[in-house]
Amino acid sequence: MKNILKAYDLPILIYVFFLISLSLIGIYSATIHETQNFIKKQFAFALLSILIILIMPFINYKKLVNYSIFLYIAGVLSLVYVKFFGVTVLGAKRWINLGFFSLQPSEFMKYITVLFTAYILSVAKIPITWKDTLKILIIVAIPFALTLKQPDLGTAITILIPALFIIFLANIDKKYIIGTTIFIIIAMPFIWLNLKDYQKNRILAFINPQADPYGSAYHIIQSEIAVGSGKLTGKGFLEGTQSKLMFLPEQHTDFIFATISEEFGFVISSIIVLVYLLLSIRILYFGKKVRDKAAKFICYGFGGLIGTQAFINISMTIGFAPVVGITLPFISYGGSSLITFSLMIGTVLSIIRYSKMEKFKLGEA
Amino acid sequence: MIKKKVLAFSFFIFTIYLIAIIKLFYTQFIQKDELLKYIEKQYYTSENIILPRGTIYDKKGNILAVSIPTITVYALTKYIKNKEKLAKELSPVLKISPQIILRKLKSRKNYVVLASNLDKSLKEEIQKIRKKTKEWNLGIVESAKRVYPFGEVGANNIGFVSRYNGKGMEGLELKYNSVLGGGIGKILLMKDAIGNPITIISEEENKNSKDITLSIDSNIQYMAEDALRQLVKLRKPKKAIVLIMNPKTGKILANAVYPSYDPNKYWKYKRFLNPTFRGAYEIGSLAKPFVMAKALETGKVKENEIIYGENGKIYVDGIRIKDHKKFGKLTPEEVVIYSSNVGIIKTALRFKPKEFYSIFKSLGFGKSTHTFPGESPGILRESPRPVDIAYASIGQSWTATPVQVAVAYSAIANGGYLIKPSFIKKVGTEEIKPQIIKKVLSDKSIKWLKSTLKLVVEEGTARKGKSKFYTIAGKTGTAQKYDPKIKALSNEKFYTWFAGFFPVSDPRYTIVVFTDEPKKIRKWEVIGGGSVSSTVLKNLIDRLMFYSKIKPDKTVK
Repeated sequence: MKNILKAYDLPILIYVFFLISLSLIGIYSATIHETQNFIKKQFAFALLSILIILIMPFINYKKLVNYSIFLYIAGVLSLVYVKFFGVTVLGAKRWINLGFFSLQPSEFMKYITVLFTAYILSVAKIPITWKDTLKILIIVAIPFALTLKQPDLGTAITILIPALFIIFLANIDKKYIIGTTIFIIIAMPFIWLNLKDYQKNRILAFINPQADPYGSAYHIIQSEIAVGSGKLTGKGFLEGTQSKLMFLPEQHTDFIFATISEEFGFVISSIIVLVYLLLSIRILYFGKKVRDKAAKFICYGFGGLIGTQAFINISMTIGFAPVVGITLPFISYGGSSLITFSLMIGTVLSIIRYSKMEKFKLGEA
Repeated sequence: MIKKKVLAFSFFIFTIYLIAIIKLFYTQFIQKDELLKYIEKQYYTSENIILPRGTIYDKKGNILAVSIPTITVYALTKYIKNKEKLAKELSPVLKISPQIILRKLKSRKNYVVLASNLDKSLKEEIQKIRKKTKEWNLGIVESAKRVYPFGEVGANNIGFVSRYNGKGMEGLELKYNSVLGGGIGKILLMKDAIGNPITIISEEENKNSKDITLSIDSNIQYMAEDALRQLVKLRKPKKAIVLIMNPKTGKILANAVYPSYDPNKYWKYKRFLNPTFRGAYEIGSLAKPFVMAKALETGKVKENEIIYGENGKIYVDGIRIKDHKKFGKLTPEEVVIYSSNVGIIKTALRFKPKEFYSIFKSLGFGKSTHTFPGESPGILRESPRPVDIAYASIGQSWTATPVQVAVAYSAIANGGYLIKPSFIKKVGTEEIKPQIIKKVLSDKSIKWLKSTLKLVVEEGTARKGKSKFYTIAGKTGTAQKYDPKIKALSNEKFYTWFAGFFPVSDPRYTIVVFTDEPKKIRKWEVIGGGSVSSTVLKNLIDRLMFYSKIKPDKTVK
């Protein structure tokens, strides 16, 4: 038993299980008035995720990295499949209907892209050359563009983010960073022009919520109200009025943090923020620690992604960032998202376990 | 190198998280009050509903005004899922076209009233639609609507209640607002968690609403209005009233007013008159009997004195006042019976000014009786100039309301007592006792007035209105209206009066008939209180007495 426990990094397990349990509580509360049985579904996914997290450390991550090219091809194909045969919900084509479950390939693509990038970098020189950089950018650009066209800006961004971290941490030359930054600043007006109207409105609503409180800023305002009215200890489980009276939109998906904050207050919500911070820093810490290059970059990618995605989601619920359709890792409703993040954690745990074992072997030798 | 970057990167993540926690703290501790205020605004919507108020009954227990329960159908537009379908479903029930309902549902307002003042029986059907369409944000609020079953009958007295705020706006509905209650109640609405998203958080209750029973007898009211209608048909006056009062208690049994209105549709009318209380008019010869009675009582005129009629004209302070006939010698009774101006002026001038005006003041003239909202006190100025006294004695230059006249003539009928007029028999279950203020006429005066006023109807100016079956005492009056066109008293426009009581032996009813600008029926006719009022007396008195089951006190020839 002790040996089995040793296979895991306990802090990471605790953080993740804490978040998953909160997720079930939050989703139960947020969907209690719904006719559809969200909680049962999510509970099944939670069990599956825990299983993934517990089993994956026993699978060598290196195998995954080596096969990542096939995963990548399968992922891109499924995104193409979605483009033609996907299920349309609220104007976006994101899902493949599997009968019992709607699969969202773009979520899994986050995981796969990092693996594949790590695979490329495992044989590359560090600091990376511009050739490798270009390779990575192309690898990312394909799923990014396919997801963006669904349209799903939020998930597209989360596919891009880990790659950017990896390139950055792979010690790319400063001039590239500076060059890119300047390019983005110059491109800003063009980006703005190419945004959809609802996207422009969201940014405007973020800048001045009071301009259209019942329109584009409705989400931000209602979410901020929910969080704020939670005060220190919250209104109590199932007592949240913002969510129960349906003022809070997307309360079990993108705005689940507001649902939880309203009912449990500052104490729990700040703990959640803290847990995300600890989780992502710990993964980054292992990234720094492990020797294997692929493992390093996988950790940077996943740690950075979990850290930023959680930050962006929480920021938008507390009126700190414009509304982007991004889930809160481990907590938001949705099987694809939960399983994707669990795969990441499982892979990280595998990295920790195998690198420890290697060290041990090295020590023996 | 990489390690440094990872550290910098970790530090970056740490920093942004710190900022997030600070912002979280700011939202949940500093901003919270502002946000909580916002919550109240969006969760609760208070809506006005009209509360039911007390019922108004007539003396016999008939309902004159009642609040019937109605329902108001509303919707929280933001949460109506299929507006087109709901509009289609509601249309036949609400009897409003689906387009209009749809327009309301699509309005930007959070809360829209789709239909108000509907019959409560529709409640079930609307709830069925709510269940069928699963539009839980369609709601029903119970409200109340004031209904006047008798319509125009007695309307001017009862008044009406505003259809917007449920408060009395006119008449007794206005006067007894505090007793009847009603008005606007607030309901606080909130969306609920499960199943039934709309709850009424609180509803203002009607705390002190009481029913009122009036002294009005709808049957008598109807008879009075019937008689008035014939008078109006014949004379086409601008305004006219018939007031019937119990002389012993001051309780008003009927007050018919022309022009009337339908309180059920009050908003279609511009004017809501009640000259019985609000109009102050010159009473003409109605003043005369009181002057003569006082003169006889105080010995200023001897019972057997003969007053010379001066052939129909008299000069006071150099101003000539004419009589309607060239009277010669007159007894005090004849002065009243034939209504001689000269005779009464000569009598009046024997009084000191103060003593003279106290005749009227003691009878309640010049002071509001506070029976009806907006009641006029009339104008009674005590000018010591002989010419003013002369005019005052013939009922010109001062004004009185018909109800004051009824009070004064009731004093003759009831043994000399000044009574307070009233419309109210009961408030809730409490009987409102008649108020007798004081004795104002001596027994001697009463005896003389009764017998003289009886002769006015039997032989004098009101003889056209006399009854075959019952003895009536009364006095006619005609006052010239001031005509602003010629800046003098008009010879064409008059106020006409009849005030009296019957049966003389044991008076049961006081009656006042008043018209404003009655038209002549024939060209050569002289307008007078007698000729104008006679229709009413003829049509009303016998009918009223038979209704009251009182035996005739005249021997039928």
